[in-house]
Amino acid sequence: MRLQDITNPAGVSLDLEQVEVNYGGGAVLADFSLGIEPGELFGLIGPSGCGKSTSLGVIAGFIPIERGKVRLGGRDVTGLPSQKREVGVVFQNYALFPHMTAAENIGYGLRVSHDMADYDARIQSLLDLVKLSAKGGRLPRELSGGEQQRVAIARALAIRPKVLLLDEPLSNLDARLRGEMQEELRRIQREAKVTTIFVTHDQDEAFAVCDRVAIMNLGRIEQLGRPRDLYRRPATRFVARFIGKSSRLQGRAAAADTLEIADAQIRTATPMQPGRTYELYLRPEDISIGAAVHTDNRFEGRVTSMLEAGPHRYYSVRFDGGEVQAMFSARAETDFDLSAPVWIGWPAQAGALLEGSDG
Amino acid sequence: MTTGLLRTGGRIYAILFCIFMLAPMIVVLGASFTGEGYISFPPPSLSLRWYQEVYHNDTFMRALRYSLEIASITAAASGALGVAAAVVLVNRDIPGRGLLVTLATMPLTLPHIVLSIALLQLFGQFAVPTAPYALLAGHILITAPYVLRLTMSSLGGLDPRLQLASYTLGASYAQTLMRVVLPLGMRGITAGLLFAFLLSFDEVTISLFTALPGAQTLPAEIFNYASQGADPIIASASGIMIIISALGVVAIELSFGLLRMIAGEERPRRS
Repeated sequence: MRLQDITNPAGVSLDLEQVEVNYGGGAVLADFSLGIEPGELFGLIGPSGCGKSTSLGVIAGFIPIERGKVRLGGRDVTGLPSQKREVGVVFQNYALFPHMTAAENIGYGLRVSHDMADYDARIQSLLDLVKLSAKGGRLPRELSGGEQQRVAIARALAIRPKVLLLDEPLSNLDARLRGEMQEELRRIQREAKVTTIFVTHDQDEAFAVCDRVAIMNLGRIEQLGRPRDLYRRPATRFVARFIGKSSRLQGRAAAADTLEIADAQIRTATPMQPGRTYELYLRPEDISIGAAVHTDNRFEGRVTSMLEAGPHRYYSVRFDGGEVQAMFSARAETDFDLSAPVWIGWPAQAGALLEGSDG
Repeated sequence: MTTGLLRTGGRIYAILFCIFMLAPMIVVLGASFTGEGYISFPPPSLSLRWYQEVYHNDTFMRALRYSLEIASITAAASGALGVAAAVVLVNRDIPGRGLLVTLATMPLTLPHIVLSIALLQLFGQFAVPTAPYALLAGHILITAPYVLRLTMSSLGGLDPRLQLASYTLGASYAQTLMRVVLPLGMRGITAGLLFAFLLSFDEVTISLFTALPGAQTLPAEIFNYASQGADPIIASASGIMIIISALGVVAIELSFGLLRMIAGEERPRRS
């Protein structure tokens, strides 16, 4: 049996339009809109309480909305209960039925809707898809965490869902397995061609897996884009802080291309409004350290700490403008002693320059 | 040294406590196997003579059958009512849920004699025969709360996401109940049914008040017999009750860990 026969031949689009959700008093989601392309693997990330799980609940039909619309493939499903939405959900703890075998779990959706044509063959194809061909007869408790998760994915795909929702699916796995499952998820999603939303608090995970990612904060989307764009060009200070490592330098624009911090004058490529406050976020890889540093911005500082991280070493350097972290290849023989004077530098176009500050 | 002493002392106390708890059962069972014509413990001689007497005694055998019938009907009815109530009340969104559960368990605090009198009055008022209806009603009232509680405790432990998962897979509420919720609550439901059966089987007060003379339950018949005199047939009739109850408890303990359920999952501790 071909995979196209057991899953939807093509994914459908998913749209949330001006959705509002209230719990108790406050709005958890207000005027929330999101458009996801057919077949896309879309990540929804943010700190806990940002509304990402709520959005998932809205799409699955678990959470009633005050206002707005949910559309699947253009069709309004706002008033439909979960049973009628054809949305597959993989829960954080998988929520497998503990009294049913893997195969029975996978076939549950087909059995309750009396969709018994080619039942055995379809279950087998799904078991094959998630590489559990020989383990259909096992109970969930007899399977490892990764295997349970794959059963949960196959169970959700069995109903030929229009959209697949993954709620923190990797958070219960150990680090090594998580890496394997990221690739596995990607493969299954490509083969099944189902529009997928992946909710996680872990940005590395979302970046590794997703085509596009939305970063949420306080019930709003801060920024939406390809992982590399979010990393290189954070649009808000929240995103700049949330995504990856960066050093924050905060100062006032002395001229359109000069940021003044204490005694340090920093050249920037992005034009600024003189007199306003700005924050410059520099990635560790933007900053060079040692003898031959970039000359746009070149400062002398002192090493305050060093962190070994496999292929790289991170040096924290304090200079007149503040403290920054610079990345250095671990292959280099050079080392910088603590408190020793050292040169750091970065080009004017490096980093993200964002207006405003926390004071 | 002191801890060793404490441990030995503790063990001795535990053994004494168990003997205290089990003594009545041991005395009755022991006395029931006597070969003599009078009740005594320890029995001077052993025989099954008094069990044969019960077997050939129409009154006791009819009472035993009646008791088993009443207990079975009680368990079935309490089971249906209690499980249905538990399915509703386990849902945290039900307004006034805590109060409703407390009210539903109120009959447990009512003395059986008060309950019996209330039932007699109620059934008398509507001219409904008290046997078996008031008898069954009384037994259901005192057993359904156990079914409710035990079912709620096993359903309450279920991950609510299991139901959500079932819904997203297209299952209706009824399908979710039959295929997911109730099968996973089976431990509590079975324990509740067994409790209902045993409580009804052991109950004497309501039976005395509501059953007809000549058609009494076994414990009520033993009570009647004992009030007229005492010979070892009382011990052997009681022995039959003890054995039936014990078999029930052992069966459920073996298959479901009932005692652990009541005790709240006691785990062996390491010192």
